[in-house]
Amino acid sequence: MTSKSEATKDKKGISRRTVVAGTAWAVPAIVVASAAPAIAVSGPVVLSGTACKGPGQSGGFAFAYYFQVTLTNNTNSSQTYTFNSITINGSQPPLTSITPSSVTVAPQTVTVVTLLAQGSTNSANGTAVLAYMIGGVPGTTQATIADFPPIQGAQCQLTYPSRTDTPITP
Amino acid sequence: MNVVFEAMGLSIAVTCRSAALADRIAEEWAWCGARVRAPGANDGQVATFEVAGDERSRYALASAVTMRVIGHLGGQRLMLHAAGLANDDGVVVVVIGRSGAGKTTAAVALCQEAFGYVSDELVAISESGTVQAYPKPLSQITVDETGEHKQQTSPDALSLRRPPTVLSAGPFVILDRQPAVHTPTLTRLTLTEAVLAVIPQTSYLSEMDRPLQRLCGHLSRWGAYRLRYTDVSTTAGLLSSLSEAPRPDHWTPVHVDNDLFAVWDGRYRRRPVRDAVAVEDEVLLLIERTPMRIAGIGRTVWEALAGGPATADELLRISVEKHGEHPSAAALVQQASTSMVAAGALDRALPQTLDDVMAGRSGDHANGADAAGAPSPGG
Repeated sequence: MTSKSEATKDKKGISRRTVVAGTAWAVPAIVVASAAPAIAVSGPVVLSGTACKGPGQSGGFAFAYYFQVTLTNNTNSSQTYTFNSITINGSQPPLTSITPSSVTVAPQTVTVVTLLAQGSTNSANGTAVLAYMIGGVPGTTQATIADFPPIQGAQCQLTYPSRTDTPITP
Repeated sequence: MNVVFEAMGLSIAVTCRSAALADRIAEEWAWCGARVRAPGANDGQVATFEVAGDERSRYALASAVTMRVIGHLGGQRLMLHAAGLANDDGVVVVVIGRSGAGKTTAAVALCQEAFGYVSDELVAISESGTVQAYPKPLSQITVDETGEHKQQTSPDALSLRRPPTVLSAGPFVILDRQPAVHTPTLTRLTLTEAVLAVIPQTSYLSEMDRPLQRLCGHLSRWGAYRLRYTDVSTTAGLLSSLSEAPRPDHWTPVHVDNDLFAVWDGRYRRRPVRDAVAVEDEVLLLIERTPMRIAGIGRTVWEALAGGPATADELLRISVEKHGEHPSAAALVQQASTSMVAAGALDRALPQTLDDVMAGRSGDHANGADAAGAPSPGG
C-alpha cells in the first residue's frame, strides 16, 4: 500500500504522506455488529440490541446503560408499557431504575425509545433481558448486546432522551 | 374436534373445545392444508396444541406453531424473521423487518395483486435456495362500525393470491417505514451491510453449518435493498422490478482452522470462529453469535495468526511487510491487536499467568525436586 516516495527523506513529509497513502493503517481494525439472537419472532416489545454505556463509575455513581427499545401498538387504543427491570447476563443484579419507567404509545403506532437503566456496578457485555408489563400483563424480551460504546462517543448510535413515533400505515 | 395441518412439513394437531372453533381454525390455516378430524384420530402429529377459542389464544397458537417450526428446522435452513412475497416465477422477495416493522401490512397490501402470499412471519431457505411456503393466518387489525377486531385472518378472507408451488429465495428487502415519504425508494446495500442487517432477524444462525457463507450465498445472488416508504401499497412496482433478474455480489469463503491450542506466553492467537467470508477489503467473522468486520491492520493481524500464535513483534513485522513503513506502526499494530482482544476476536494470555499457575500448582514440586536433588547423591 505505502510507496516509498521522494518524501521519505523528509521526516515530517513521511508521516503525512504515509498516513494518507497507507489506508490499511488508517481503517478501524475491527468493528463489532449486532449479534444473532437465538430466535427472532414478532412481539410487542423488542430490545434492538443497540446499547451504550454512560460515563464510568466516577464519583461513586453506578454504571448507567442506555438501551433502544421498539414498542409496537397495533391496537386502536393507547397502550401503556411499563418497564420493570433489565438484567444483563442473568447473574448480575437487575437494573431496576429505568427512565422513563413507562411509555404510552398512541393507537396504531410504533415507538422507538431510548431507556436509561441504572444500578449496576459491572459493565460486562452479554444477554440483556427486559421485563415489562402491558396493561398489567407481564412479558419479557431479550437481546444480545455485543458492545456498550460510550454514550457520547462516535460509535454510539443512541441519543438520550430520544423518542420517535411512527404511525402504522393502514 | 381436532384440526390437523402441516406447517413446513411438521404435522400439527389442534384440540378444539367445539366444532365451531375447529371449523374456524381450519379456515384460518386452510393454506396449510387444515382439515377437521374426529377427536382421537392419530395422524402422526409431532405437535399438539389445545385452544380455548378467543382471539388471544388463536394468536398464541400461531406463535406456538411458528416456534415449533423454527425449533424443528433451525440449524438446517436459514430461518428469517420475514414476510415472503412470490412473483409468478416463484421468486420470493424476502421482506425482512423487526417486530412492528410492517411485514404483515406489506403481505396484505402486496399479495392481493402483485405477489403470492408465502408468509408474514417466517421465511426458511434451504441450502440450495428453495423456500417452503408458511402461509399462516395473518395477525391483523380490522376496524368496522362495531369497533376494533384484533384477529387472525385467513389468507382467503383477505383475498390473497396463492404463490406458485416451487419457490426459491430472491431479493432481500429491509423495511424502513418513515413518516411522509411520498415516493418510495430502494437502495442497494453492500453485501457486508446486508449481512449485518439481516443477522439480527435470524433464528438459530449460530447452529448452522457455515452460517456466513450460507447468508452470503443467498444475499449475494439477487442483492439486498433498503426500502424507504410510508405507504407500502405504493411499492409494488419497485419490488416487482427487483425480482426480474439476479444481480450478484462478489464474496469468497475464508477457510478457518479452529484447531487452536492455548498458550500463556503473551503471544496472540485467534479465538474459535464459527465462519468467515471475505467481501471486498474486509473479512467478516462470526464468533459465537457476534459478527465482526475486520479490515486493514486488523485483517492482516488476524490472517497472520492462521497458522498459530504469534508475538507482538512478529505481527508488527508482518504488518510492515504487507503495508509498508509507518511512523506509528508499532503503536497501530498494538492498538489493533488490543482492540481485537477486547472485541473477542483474539486471545492473549500473559506470561505472568503461567508463572502464577506454576507457583500455585507445581512450585512445591519444583522446589522439592531441587531440594531433593542436592542431598540425594550424598544420601
